[in-house]
Amino acid sequence: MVVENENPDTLELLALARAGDAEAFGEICRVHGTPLLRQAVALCGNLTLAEDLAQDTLVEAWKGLHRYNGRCQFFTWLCAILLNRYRNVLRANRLRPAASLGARNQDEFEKHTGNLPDHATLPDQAVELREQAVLVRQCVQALPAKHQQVIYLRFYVDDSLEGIAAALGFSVGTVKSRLFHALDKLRKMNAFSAQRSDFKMKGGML
Amino acid sequence: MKPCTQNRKLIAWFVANALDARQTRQLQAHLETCEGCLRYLAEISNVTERLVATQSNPDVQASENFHQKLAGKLRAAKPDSMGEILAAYLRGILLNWRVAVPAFAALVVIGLTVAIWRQPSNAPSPTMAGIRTAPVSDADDDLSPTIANYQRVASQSLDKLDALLTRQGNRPLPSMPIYTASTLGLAQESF
Repeated sequence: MVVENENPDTLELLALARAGDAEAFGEICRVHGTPLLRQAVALCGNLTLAEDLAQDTLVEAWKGLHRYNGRCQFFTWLCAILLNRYRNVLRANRLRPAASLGARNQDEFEKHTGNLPDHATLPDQAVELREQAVLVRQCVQALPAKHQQVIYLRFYVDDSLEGIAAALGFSVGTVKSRLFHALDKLRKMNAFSAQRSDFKMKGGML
Repeated sequence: MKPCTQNRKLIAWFVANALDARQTRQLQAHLETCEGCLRYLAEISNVTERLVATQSNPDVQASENFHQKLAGKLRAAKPDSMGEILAAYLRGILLNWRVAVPAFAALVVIGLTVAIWRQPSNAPSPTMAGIRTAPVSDADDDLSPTIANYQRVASQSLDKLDALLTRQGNRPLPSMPIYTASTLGLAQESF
């Protein structure tokens, strides 16, 4: 099964890149560089680290292009690599996720991730939305890594269950099961309970 | 009121657009009558709505510097060699316990089978002893007078068989008694 709604240009470039055409892969980097960087910033909240993550993701994709089987969006596959690299960085540096850092870094995280969809809201509402966004991210980052992956790819990268399964190398059944458990755990967290904002972090990391 | 246990997954998948049409119809019919499931649906919907609402879109662009640095990293990197591809493939297989465990079990079974098969028998059967004879040479006087030995020599050359029989016929008789209880394989007590 090959994903049907992939951009034809990307498909053509991928075919060339697979045959060893470095320029074609360079063009892919041009197309996906900015979206990938945005995902990385949203993930880690640090532009310098995000740039490194996005670049290393594209390098890893180039080195392992033969592993991409076309069963998910190419961008979903890139995001799955990005998630793994971010987890490795956290492990290596024993960092806590950006969204769970202290107030100073929190400001930086909010600055980078604060462009929420509704720009026309009042300043107070915008601040509230931003705070909610941080809380939601904290909740997601408190989940086990396997649940974070599925939530991230489903709601922030927005691919089909089949695409997510292909990108992560699992069956659709596994993805559905993890999706249920992740949503159920989030439901139980205070941040998702109505009118409650006294969320306490569990301190998990990706 | 609690949701029905068997419907919790279906509700979560329904909210995440992961339910087929038939299941969706069945669940919707159930939701009209079950207050617990309806409440669970509202809670899960709240989670997904917040996840979607807080989807951030950082206002950053990959700069020219980003691409130049990336180009440098790409130049330094080479696509995986066939060896690396194979190693990665095998690593992927071996890290998957669903494949690794049966493969390991199969290897153990094969190893045990080979070990048992190669184990030498301590007490060869009389028939085998009779068949396993010494290599044929010109001096076949020592060959025991069995049918198998005669057949083997005959298959090589009838002249050889003739010579062997002549030689063995000219040998002096053994001084030991031939027909004893032990040579006949009879127990001493039976006499």
